[in-house]
Amino acid sequence: MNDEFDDCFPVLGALAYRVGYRLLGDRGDAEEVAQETLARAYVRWRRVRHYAEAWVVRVATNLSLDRIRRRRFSAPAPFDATDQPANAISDIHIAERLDLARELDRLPRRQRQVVALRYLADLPEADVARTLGCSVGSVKRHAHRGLTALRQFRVEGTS
Amino acid sequence: MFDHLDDPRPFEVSEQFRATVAQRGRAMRHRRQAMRAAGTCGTALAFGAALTIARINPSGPPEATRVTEPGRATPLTTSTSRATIEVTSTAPPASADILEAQNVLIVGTDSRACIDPNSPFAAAFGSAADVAGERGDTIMVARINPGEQRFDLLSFPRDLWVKIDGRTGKGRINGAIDANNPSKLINTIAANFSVPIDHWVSIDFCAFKEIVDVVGGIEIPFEFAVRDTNTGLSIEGPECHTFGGEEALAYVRSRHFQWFDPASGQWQTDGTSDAGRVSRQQDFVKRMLLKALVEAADSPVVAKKFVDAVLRHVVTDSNVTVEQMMAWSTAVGSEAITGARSFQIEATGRLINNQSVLMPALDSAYMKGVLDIFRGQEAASEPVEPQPSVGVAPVQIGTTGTATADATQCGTDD
Repeated sequence: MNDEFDDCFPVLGALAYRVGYRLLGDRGDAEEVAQETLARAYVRWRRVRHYAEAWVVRVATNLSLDRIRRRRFSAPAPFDATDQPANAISDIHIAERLDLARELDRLPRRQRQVVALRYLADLPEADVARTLGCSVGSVKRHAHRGLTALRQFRVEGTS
Repeated sequence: MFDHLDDPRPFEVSEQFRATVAQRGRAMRHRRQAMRAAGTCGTALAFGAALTIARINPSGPPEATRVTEPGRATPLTTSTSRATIEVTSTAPPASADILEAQNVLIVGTDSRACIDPNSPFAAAFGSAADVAGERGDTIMVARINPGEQRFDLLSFPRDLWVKIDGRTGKGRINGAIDANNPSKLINTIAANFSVPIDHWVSIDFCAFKEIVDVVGGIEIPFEFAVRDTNTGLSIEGPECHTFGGEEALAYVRSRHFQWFDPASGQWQTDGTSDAGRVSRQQDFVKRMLLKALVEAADSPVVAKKFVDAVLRHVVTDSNVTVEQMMAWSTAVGSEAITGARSFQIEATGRLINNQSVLMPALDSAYMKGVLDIFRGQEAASEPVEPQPSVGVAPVQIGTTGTATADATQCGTDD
């Protein structure tokens, strides 16, 4: 692989994994999302390298949302798990993750980008502003609006 | 803020993780290269397969089976900048579900409006006087099946002898092409082949030429030199040839296609004539779609030009917008297009009233299977693979076989 890509690999991998895990709550799934994301970054590296973090977060977010959508299609509703303790998924945050994913899906594009970069990937405001090519002020504004939309469904009493 | 959703166990990039990424990256790069070249011919896709399935049945049944289509009629309104056309779809009401399979009727029509009379390929388009003899009309049904990630093409030779909607007798199918009344062709196809149509798209030479140019030309590898003295087409093989708009027209309209056979040192004529032309068109359409997808995804400027060209020249029913087309192509995926299956209606040559026409031969199990795909009943029948045929087509019509693929592949760097 390309040297520069190699150097960034661990950082980008961890970033993609974090985004994937926060949305999917499953190690295997998050790993696959991260692998797919990095493979895609690799083939487009020449174009991606200048804003690699933002790109990786966006792709990992979209891949995760795709996965959740597909899950809804194929599997019985994951919520059933709470009704059937015997079958319970060990992930206690499953409901919150699904709400988060659904709500992210509904956010306007810019707000979703900002929320994903700022809160899913935990990038600092200044970095988000730089990668999106806008001011810190407007990152704050989008983040605020995005969060207001998210807040209404955030599950109460999360650890 | 969402720390509590994190994986409690720390994530580390393992060797296995790295290896998987590298392997997937390499696979992706190959696919992208293949797409760049809009399908390398070495991978038995497109051309070879498309050509060989163009079988002309020497002993087909004398009459076409006719089945009437019971599908409910849904009015589609057509709006173009030029006119509004009322169309009656023969398919059940379309669902908004993007995963729903759709049949799109693609009609390519002759129009010399944008051909420079001084172009070396002007001959391809005939003079205004001999329009009647050399109409290059093209009729294809593209089945877009995002649910199964499939994309299939079915071509109707223009000389097919069928019952024409709204007329008492039979006629050549291209007689049903009516720019102001697409329902005529849609109903004709439904009545004769029981293939329902959900949407239609009409594309003329101007659009075709412009789209080819907008995406930066279409590359096709040739193993041999090819020519058509009627259309001015002349390519020195072996090479990866990049077609510009006008030359592309000379290629897809060629009916007297010849390839140079180094073994005999002679020019060989593609004896399939119209069937060969249709195969080349199908192959070209696939390459063009892929190239448009790849280029548009890579460059917003190309995407915009592409959309503009489509808006300017392509007439569709009102439900087919550029966004809809993009949504379809994205949903079905470029791999589906690379792996697209191409079919033609099989037919037997006949002389009727001194006109040579093609009688559809739909009774073979093969043809039934093909039609079932486009009727949405693929599951019900035997799986149909484009199969190598007997006789008719020359083994190569100027595209590479695997043996020399390296020399002529249209691969590019990533």
